[in-house]
Amino acid sequence: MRVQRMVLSLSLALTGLSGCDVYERWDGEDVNAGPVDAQNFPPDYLGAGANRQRAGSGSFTGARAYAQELALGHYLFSFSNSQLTAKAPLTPLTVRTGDKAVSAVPTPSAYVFDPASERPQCKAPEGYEFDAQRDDVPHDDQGIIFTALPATTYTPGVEPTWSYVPVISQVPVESGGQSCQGIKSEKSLVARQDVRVPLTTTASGKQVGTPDGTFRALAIIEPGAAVYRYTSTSTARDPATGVGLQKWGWYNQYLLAYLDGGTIPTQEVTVGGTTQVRMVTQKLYYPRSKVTVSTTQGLKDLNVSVGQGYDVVEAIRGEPGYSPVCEVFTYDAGGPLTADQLPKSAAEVVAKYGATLQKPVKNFGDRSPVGDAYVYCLQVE
Amino acid sequence: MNSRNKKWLSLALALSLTGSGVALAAGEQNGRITGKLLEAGTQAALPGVTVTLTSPALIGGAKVIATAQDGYFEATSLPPGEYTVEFSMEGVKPIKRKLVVRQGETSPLNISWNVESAIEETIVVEYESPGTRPESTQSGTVLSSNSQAKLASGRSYQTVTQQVAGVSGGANPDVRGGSSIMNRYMVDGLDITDPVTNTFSSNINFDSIGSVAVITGGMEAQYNSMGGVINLISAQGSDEFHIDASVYGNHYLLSAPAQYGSNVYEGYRPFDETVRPPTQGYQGNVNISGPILKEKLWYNLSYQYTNTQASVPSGPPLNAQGPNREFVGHYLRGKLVWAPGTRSRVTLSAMGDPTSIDFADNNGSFANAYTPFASRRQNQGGWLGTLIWEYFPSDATTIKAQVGGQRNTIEAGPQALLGKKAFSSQEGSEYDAERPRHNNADDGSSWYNFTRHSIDDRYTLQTDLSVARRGVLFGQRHEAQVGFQGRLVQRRYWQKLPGDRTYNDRRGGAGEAGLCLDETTGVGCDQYTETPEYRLTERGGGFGVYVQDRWKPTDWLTIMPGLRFDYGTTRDSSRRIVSQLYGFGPRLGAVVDVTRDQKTIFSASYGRSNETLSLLAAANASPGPLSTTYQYSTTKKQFEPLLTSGGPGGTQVDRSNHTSPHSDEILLSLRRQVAKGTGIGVEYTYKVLSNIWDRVETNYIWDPSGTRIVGYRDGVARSVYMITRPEDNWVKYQSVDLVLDGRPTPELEFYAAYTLSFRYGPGSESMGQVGTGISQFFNPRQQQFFTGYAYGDTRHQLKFQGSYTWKGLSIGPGFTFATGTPLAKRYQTANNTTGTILRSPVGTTPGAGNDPLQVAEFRTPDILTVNARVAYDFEELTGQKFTLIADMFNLFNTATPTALLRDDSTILPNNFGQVSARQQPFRLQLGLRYRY
Repeated sequence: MRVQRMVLSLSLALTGLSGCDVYERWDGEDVNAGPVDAQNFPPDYLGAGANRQRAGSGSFTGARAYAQELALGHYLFSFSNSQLTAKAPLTPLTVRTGDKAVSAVPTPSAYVFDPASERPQCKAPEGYEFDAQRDDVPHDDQGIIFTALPATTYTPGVEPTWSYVPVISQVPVESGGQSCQGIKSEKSLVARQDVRVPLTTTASGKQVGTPDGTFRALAIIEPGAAVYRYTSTSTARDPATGVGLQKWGWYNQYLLAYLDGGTIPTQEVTVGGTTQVRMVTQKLYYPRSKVTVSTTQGLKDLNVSVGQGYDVVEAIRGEPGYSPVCEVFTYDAGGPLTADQLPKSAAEVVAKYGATLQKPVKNFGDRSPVGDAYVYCLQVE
Repeated sequence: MNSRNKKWLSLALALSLTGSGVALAAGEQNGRITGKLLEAGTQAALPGVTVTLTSPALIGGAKVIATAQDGYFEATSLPPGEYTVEFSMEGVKPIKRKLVVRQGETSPLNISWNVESAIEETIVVEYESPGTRPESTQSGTVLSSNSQAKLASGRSYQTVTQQVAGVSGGANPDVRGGSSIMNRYMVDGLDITDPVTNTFSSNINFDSIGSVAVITGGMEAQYNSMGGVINLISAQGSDEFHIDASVYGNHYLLSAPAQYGSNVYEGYRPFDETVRPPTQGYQGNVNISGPILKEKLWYNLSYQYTNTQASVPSGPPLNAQGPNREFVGHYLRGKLVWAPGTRSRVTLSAMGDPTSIDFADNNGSFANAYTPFASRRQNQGGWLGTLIWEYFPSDATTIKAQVGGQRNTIEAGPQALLGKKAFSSQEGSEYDAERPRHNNADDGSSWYNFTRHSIDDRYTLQTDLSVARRGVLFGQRHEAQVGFQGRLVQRRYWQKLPGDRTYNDRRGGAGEAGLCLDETTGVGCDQYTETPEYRLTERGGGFGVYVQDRWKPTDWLTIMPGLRFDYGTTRDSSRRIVSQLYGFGPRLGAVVDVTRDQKTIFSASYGRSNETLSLLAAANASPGPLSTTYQYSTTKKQFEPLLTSGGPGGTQVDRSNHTSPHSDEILLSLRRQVAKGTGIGVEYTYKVLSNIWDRVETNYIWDPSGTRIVGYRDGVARSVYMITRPEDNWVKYQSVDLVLDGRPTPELEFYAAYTLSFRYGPGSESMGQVGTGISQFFNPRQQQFFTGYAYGDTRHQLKFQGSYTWKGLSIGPGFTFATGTPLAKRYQTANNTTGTILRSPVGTTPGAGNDPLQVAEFRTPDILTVNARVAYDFEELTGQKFTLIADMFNLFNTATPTALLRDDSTILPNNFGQVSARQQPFRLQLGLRYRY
C-alpha cells in the first residue's frame, strides 16, 4: 500500500507540474499566429501566377493608367456578382440602406487606430528603429484589425465565385498608450482597457466596434505575394523586394497584407423614403477600338480591355475627385491608335471621344473585371 | 605513519591522479558484490572471514578477500556472470551462496551465519536478490544475453534498448527526454558514438553480446551523456570450449501481405494482388569460445551474416515496382582475455562490420519515386579495437587503463556505380555516371542518377584511465574514483555530384516528359544547383576528468558526490576553431535504505552533463564548396545565376561563447522488493536540455510574412549560418516511470514498465538532425511556431517482456504500446530556397485556417506491437543443446501507421495526413540454435 500511495502521489505531482504552459511562445490572445493562410482566397486576391497551395507564388503589379497626363498604376478588383446584379432600389454602389448593411455588399468592420492622426499613437519600444531583418512589421505602428477575410470555395471543375469586395467599414480606435502591434484581434481589442473604442452589443451579446460611417477600400491580399508598382519598363520590379506598397494588419491574431486604396467617398440618397449610402465613383475610360501594340511578331492591332495599360481615370489619389471605385466607360478612338496616340486624361477622352462613350458589356462567363460596369481601382500610396 | 594518515594519503593519491593525467574508464564493464557477514544468533559482525569468489566469468582463478571489522566485504571489478561466494573460517564448515553479477550494478549479499553449527552441510543457495539496486542512483536496466535468448527481438543491441522504461523512438532511441543524437554508445568500454552524428556507429553480432546496460538517468560522474548510455559488453571466453551457432530465416511466404489503403482509416486491400519483391531476412552466426591457456588466456570469436530485404508496393508517382532494398552485413568479432597474474587482467577486443545496402532508400515511399538509376547504394562499416588493462595492486585499489580506436566509413552513391549493374537495361538506356540527376517537383520523381557519390570517414581514438580506491575514512566507508577520458576524433568527407549538378524541374508535368532536358524549349526548366567536387576534414579533441565518491556514513545511507570537467575543441576543414567548450558537471546522489533490509530503497540524484566534443558543428561549419543555384529565365530561354551557398563566408562560428550543450537532471526513485527476486520501482525525472546546437541563419531578410527572401544583410545572395548554441534552444522533460522487474524463479522472468512523460520546448531541431526539418533559427518570422510538445514526446508507454520455461519449452511474449508522437504540418512556399513553412506550433495542424482555436495536435497514431518467441530445447530428448525457435512479430497483424505525410504539398495535392509507412505485417521467423 505504501508503494501504491507513492506511485499515486508522484503521478499527481508530475501531472501538476506538466500543467505549466508548454506553449509559452503561443501564449495569450495577442500572439502573432503567423501570416494568414490564403489558400481559400479568391484568385484575384492571390495575385498573378499564384498557386494557392504555394504561399508567395503570386504577385500584384500596378496596371498603367493615366490621369491628368500622368502615368500611374492602379490595382483592379472586380465587383462581386451579387453587387453588380443588385436589384432596385439598390444599386451596385449601395452599401447601406437606412442603418442596415447591404447583404450583397459585405463591408465588415475594421478597427483603425487613430484615423485622424498621421500614424497610430501607440507606444513603441524605447529607442526603437525598424530592422527589416528582425522585424516583421514596424513596432512603432499599429496595424488595422480586420474582422473578415476574402474567401471562396474551390471545387474541382467549377469556377470559383465569391462575394468579398475590398471595402471595410471603419471603426475608429483611440490609442491610450498601448504597445504598438500589441493588439492583433478584435476579441482582444474590445476587451482592452488601454484603448477607446465605440462599442455596440450584438443580438448575441457580443461586443463589437461601432463603425463611424467611413468606408475604405482595403483589399486583403495573400501576404506572401509581392506587390510592385507600375513601371514603364516591363522587366523592372519596383520595389525590387515586392514589399513596401502593401500594408500590414491583423485578423484574429494572423498577420495580413492589404492594398490601401484610401477612403471611399459616399453620398446619401433617399429612395422611397429610405436613405441609402452609396459609394461615389470616378470614371475610368478605355478604348474599345483596336490599339496598335508591339508584339514579338511585330506591330499588331488588338482589342484591349480594362487593366491592360490603356485606362484613363479622372483623378489621382489625394486630389479632389479621387475614388477607389471606378465606373467604367469605353470609347471609340475611330481606328487603331498606338498607346502614345491615345488620350492621357479624362478631359481629353471626353473632349475627343465623348460622343462615343458607352458602358462596357461583359461576356457571358467572364469572371474578370473585363466588361463590368464598375470596378475597384485602388491607387496605393 | 598512523592509519589515519595512511587513509588521507590514499585518498589524496587517488585525487592527485586527476591532474597527472591518469584516469578512469568510461563504460562500466564490471559489477560488484557487497554485503555484511553477521553471526546468526547474536547478529555480531564476523571479521576476518575468508570470502572466495569463483565464476566461469572470472579469469585468473578465484578471487579471495576477507571481511572487515564490521563484517563488511566488497568484491569489485567482477566480470558479469554467475558467481559462487564461499565464506570460510578455520574450524567452521564453509557456506556458499550463488548469485548473479550484472555490469555496473552492485549485487548485495548479506549473510547471517550460524558458525556454531559445525555439522551443517555446505549448501549452495541461490541468493535472493532484492531487485532494488540498493547502492545506486542510476536508472535503467541490464539486458542479459540469457534473457534476450527467450524473447522475440530485432536481434540487435539497438532494438532491444526499446524494452527499457523511458526509452522511445527508433534504433537511435530517445532516452528520458534526450533526443536520438544525445546518447553514448559503448562497446567493451570504448565509446563508439559516431563523432559527427552522435548516433550508434557499429553493428554487432547479437549472439556475441554478453549484456547491454541501458542507463537512462542518475548517472555517476564517469558518464557524460545528455541522453542515455547504451553500454555493451561482448561475450568473453572461459575455461570451457563452447560453440554457439544459429540460423534464422524469415521467408516472405511466412509473412502477411502488406497491401493497405493510404488513409489512416483504410485497412487491408483484399482484392489487391500486386506482386512485389519479398520482404524477408536471413541470419546466420557462429560463436566459438574457450581457453587457450586455462585460467590464463581465453578467446571468443564470432561471425554473423545478415541479409534483409525490404520492399514497398508499387504506387505513385512512377507506379512501377521498385527493386528491393537489400542489406547484407558481415559482423566479425574477436576477444582475448588474459590474466598475466592474479592481480591483473588484460582484454583485447576487436570487431568489424562491413555492410552493403543496395537500393538503400527503397524500403519507403522513395521506392516509388526514384528510378533505379536514381537510387542510392551504401557501403558502410568499419572496425574498432580496444585494449584494456585492469590492475588490482590490493583488494582496496583498482587501476584501469584503456586505449581504443575506431574507423567507420559510409560510402553512398549511385546504385549503378557502386552496386548491381544488372538492372541498367531496365530503363532503356545505358547508365551514364556523369549524367546529372533530375528531380521532377511536379510528381516527386527522380531520374538518371543519385545526387552524389560521397565517402564519409570517421575516426576515433580514445584513452581512459581510472583509479578506484576503497577505504575507511573517519570511520566511514568511501570509495573514491578519479578518471581521465581523452578522445580524438576526425571526419574526412569527399563528394562529387554526377555532372556536378542536380536539376530541380517543375511545371513540365509528371514523369520523364516533364524534365528539363532541353533549355531551348524550357519544358520543366526551373532551377539547378551546381556543386564542384570537394573534400573536407574536420578534427576535434577533448578530455574529461572526474572524481566520484561513494560514501556510506551509515549502513542505510550512501551519498555519492561527484564532479567532472569536460573540455573539447573542434576545427572545421578550413582549420578554423568552431568550438572551444567546457563545462563542469556536478553530480550528487543519495541512496537511502528505508527499511534497513535493502528491500525498500529511495534514491535522489542531480547531475549535469556537458557535450563539449562533437564534430556535428564542425561538419556544418566547414565552408564546403561554393554551390550556385541557377534559375531558368522563360524570357531568355536559359538559366541564370540565382544565388550561391557554401564557400568561404557561408558559415560563422561563435568563438567567444564557451557554453556547451548540457543537461540538468533530477531523478527521484523509490524501489521495493515485492517478491523473491522481484522489485517494483517508481521514478520521477525532471530534465532540462539547454543550449542545444543549431545553426542560425544571419543573412536573409524575409518579407513580413516569412514566405519570401527579399534581401540579404551583406548584399550578397547567399545564406550565412552562425554555428552556435542558442540560449533559446532548449527542451524540458518530465516523466514518471513505474517498473516491475523480476526473476522470482529460474523459470520465470519479466520486465514491465509504464511511463508517463512530457517533452516540450522549442529545441526540437539540431542542425537538421532531428525534428521538423525546419530550424527555428532559419526564419525568424516562424519562431513562434517552435513551442509546445517537442518531437519525441510520447505521453504513455507500456512495455512488457517476459518468459517462462518448462521442461525445455520456453515462451517469451512481449508487447509495447506507445501513444503517438508529434508531427508538424508543413506548407510549401513558392521559393525553393525557403522551402516549407509552418502555420501552427510544432506538433499541431492549424486546422480550418486562420483561427487559433482550430489549432489541433497532430501526432502519429498510438501503436501496439505484440511479439512472441516460442522455443524448444531438445537437450532433454537428445542430450544435445539444439533449440528450435519460432519468433512471431506483430502477432495481431496490426497495420497501424508509423508515419504520416505531413506536408500540404502541390505534389500529389490533398494527400496531407495520408499514411507513408505502417507497421511491418505479421511475420514468422524460424530459427535453429545449437550450443555446445
